[in-house]
Amino acid sequence: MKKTATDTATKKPSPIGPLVRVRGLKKHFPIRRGLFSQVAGVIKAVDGVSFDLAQGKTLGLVGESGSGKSTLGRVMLRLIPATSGGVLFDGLDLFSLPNQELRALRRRMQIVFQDPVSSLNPRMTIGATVGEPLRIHRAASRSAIRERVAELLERVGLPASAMNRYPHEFSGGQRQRVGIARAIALNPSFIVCDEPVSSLDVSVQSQILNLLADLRDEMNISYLFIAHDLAVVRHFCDDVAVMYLGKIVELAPAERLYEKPAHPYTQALLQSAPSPDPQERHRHATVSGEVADPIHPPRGCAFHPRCPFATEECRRVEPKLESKKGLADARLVACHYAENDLNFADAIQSSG
Amino acid sequence: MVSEPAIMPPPTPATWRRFLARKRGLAGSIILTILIGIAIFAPVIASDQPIVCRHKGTLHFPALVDVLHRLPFASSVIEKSPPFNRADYDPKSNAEQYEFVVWPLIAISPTEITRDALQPPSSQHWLGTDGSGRDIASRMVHGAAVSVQVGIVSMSIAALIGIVVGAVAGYSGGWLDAILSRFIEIVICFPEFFLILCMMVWVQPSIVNVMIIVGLTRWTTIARFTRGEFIKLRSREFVTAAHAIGAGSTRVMFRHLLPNALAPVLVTIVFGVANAILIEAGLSWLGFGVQPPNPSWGGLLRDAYTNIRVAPHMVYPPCVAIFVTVLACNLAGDALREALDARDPTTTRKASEA
Repeated sequence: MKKTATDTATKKPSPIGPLVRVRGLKKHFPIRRGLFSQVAGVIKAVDGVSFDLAQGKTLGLVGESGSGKSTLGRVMLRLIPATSGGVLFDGLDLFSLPNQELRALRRRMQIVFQDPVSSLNPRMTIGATVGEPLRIHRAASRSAIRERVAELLERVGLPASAMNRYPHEFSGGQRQRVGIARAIALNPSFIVCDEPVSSLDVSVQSQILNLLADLRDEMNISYLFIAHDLAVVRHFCDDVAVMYLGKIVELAPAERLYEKPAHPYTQALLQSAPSPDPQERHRHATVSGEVADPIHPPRGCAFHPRCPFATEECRRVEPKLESKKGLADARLVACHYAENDLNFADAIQSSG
Repeated sequence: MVSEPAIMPPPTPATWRRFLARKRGLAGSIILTILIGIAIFAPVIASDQPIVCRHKGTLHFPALVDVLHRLPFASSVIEKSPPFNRADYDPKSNAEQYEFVVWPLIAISPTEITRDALQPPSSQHWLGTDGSGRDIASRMVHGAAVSVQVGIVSMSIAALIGIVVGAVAGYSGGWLDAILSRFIEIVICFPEFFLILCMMVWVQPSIVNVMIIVGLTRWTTIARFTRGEFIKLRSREFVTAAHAIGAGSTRVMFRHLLPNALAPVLVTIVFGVANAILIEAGLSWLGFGVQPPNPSWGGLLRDAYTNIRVAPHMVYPPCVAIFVTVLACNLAGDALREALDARDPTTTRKASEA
């Protein structure tokens, strides 16, 4: 029998196979110019991304701004239409679901935003905001909604009395808690966290991360955790995917990626992260140049204009994201020379 | 829409404080409040019916009943008291029937014809009488009711059309937005007053038709403001969040976008009220609006114009009334715009605190 969204919205997810499968996902934004809005080019924000995410696991997604991380998160939830490719959510093809079933499925996939100021409706009370998913999906009777909202607020560490107040009366961290309460209101199995701590104070960041981690353990939630702060990702994620110009260039278990990054871009990213150890400063090597123009991405490997190891092959042939025999683990890398034990920092030091 | 816990924030006290802190806002709102009061209680202020009287032992409130009767649908609920016949009343002869009577301030109906035509202001007729011997003060009071009604009703119609068209255009974008925007531009292209004049030829001249036609032609500014606000707001993350929890288009438009878009739209509506009052006065002056003998400021001005050589005093009351009302609307609208403007210097202090 064919599964429908309404079935899966109420049932527990099937234990076999990954919860989310992303295959060849692309999102190209047309650039329109002129009197009749002719398409003058496309920005390939997401350009052929594939990965799996298992129930209860967290995939970190890192990359510079403009690498398409946030777009990927939104396309995956069908908040913006994809150009091509597919997302299977618990066996359901998200992009071919009729609207009615998609709305039913939204109970199970949620999003937490970066900016807690603009992600809450300023004209709605906290109670109305957190209770809205319950009302839309008729998940509770009108009297039960208040109780459930109070319960949710307390779960995320806010007093139930916050219900009758407005977003502007709260601090950034508290507002982010409200956003999390809204996201978990319907017991989702998958949440896209779009840089949830980037705009918060460092002291508040860890509180929010702990809250997210507790919820993951408690409710067995899978996260797609988008971030640009690599230190945050290291301790929070099971796997990490590194994105560059709309493509994943390396996908590896978090600890392995940090211990031994294989792709030159991953190495560059890790190098550019500020270290608390002043002795390490001399090893600090940053990647030169800017992220390439996404309208006219370089031919071959998109990273080659900034890569110290680039060869003629890199300029011509685009490397595939694949596992390398020469590497001990099952990581995926998109680099022709990943097996050569490249060292980005040394290469930069010697060339500079 | 389903009734839900309060969605509008508590009327932002800071906005109102800023609004009333401005002399313009304060003056405008005081004048408009008085005007609306006069409009609502016109039968109590100027009428040939007593406010209170005791007739054969029972109390009657004829003028107050008239006030209630002007409310929509009230006439089917409240029984109208029998018209009080002035000729019947003689405190000397039938004092035993009428134990006491309290008259309105201007104890004459706006349509009552007396023998004293074109009289200058006197203690009996405060603003004099017109060509048919009708009391101008009484007509002014009832004319205020017409202007206020036209202003409020026509702008309500305009706001309803404008907000819906602007909301749909701004929210959906694409070809629907293009079509609706071109339609708005077509409506703007017609010189408004002449469009209204042409339409008035087709329909019966009456106050109801004036309100409908002004409403049908004055919605474009409101639509454009609503559209702009919606375009600005629709990319905000709380709108994406609403989509993510499965909210439908109607819910997103009217629960998430509209409450946030309303403030600037409100300002254009206040300015629109002034414009609608002017249009009504113009139409009544030309004879397309309120029909004589029913009073309206435009009609009074017309009467004054006819008799300007004999009774120049007639010109001032309607002129001053129209001028003050339109000015009050513009002052209030201006102050409201400033009070709502986040870039205003007096509001930046609050922004930096947040």
